[in-house]
Amino acid sequence: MVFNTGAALLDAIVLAVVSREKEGTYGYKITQDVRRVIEVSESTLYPVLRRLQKDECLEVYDRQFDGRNRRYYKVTEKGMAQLNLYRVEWKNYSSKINEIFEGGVTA
Amino acid sequence: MNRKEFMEKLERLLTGIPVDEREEALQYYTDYFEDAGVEHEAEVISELGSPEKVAATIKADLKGGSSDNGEFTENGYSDSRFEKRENPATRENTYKKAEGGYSYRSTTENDSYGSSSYSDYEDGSEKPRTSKTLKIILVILIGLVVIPFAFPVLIGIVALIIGIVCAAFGLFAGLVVGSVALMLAGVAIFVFGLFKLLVALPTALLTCGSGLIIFVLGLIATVATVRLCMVIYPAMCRIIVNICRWPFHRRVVS
Repeated sequence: MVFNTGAALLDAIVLAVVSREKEGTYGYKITQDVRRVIEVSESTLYPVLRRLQKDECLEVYDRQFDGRNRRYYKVTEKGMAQLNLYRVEWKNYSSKINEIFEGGVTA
Repeated sequence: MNRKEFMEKLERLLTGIPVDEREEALQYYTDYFEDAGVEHEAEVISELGSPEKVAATIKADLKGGSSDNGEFTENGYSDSRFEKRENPATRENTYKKAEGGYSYRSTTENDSYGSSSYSDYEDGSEKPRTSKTLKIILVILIGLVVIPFAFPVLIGIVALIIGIVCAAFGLFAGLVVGSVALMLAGVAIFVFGLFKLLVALPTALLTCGSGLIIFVLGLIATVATVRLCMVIYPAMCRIIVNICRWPFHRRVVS
């Protein structure tokens, strides 16, 4: 990708990825899903998840899987509010950029 | 390096952080390896880079607690705090983080809209584009230009000061010599008058009298000037010593 992903956008992408799973999802899967969209290194996501967890946008719980505890992440209400804010911001931003790129033909 | 070594190293590197943070991080990466499976183990390790890098990312996030230190480029996450800069960047932005109190640099290879341009959390203000090395080079250049002119001027000033000091010493020494000479002249005139005593009494008396007066005046002047020198010379020495010490003193203070 030519364009850079800022921290806020990465937060938004992670929240969006986690919010797609009703039951919550786990670190490895989140990383794979995010990496399908943008190129980030695998070590990037832990601090992001941890921060979102501290900001109470994500909650964690452990569930038995394959004879071990696996940590699951789930979006909280606050996280959903934050994600909606990001969605609105992104819409504004991307439509403005589209306007400039495509000469008034907005998506 | 295999998974076990990686995790052990990471655990050691994370000893500086709170226990719950360490356990959280280790749990995450243990899970991560488990979920990746044995077949992806090597891949994950090479992707994660070194345990040092992973630990640094975790620690940096704990310390700063900030979300806008790095950015995600086509080359993955790039954070100047851990980044070795190998190729010259075409574009450099230097931001100073307002509340963090530390500055960092984000480097992008592409001429994009700048780092995280759409966001409104960018609270950094532009730092002047001067570096320490540049300043040092400038100082050296100024020095090189100024020294050829400054050196003769400096020598002139030093010579002038030495001249003034010598003149002052000489002046007071001269006063003393003059007074002594006056005294000696008085004695000489008195002696001369004594020789005249047998030839012409009035002339002799006059000469002797003047000789005595001049001698006494000379004596008084000598005493006065010697006293004056005793006061003036140490004072002058003190002033000179202070002047010599002044540049070094100032450097120490500043």
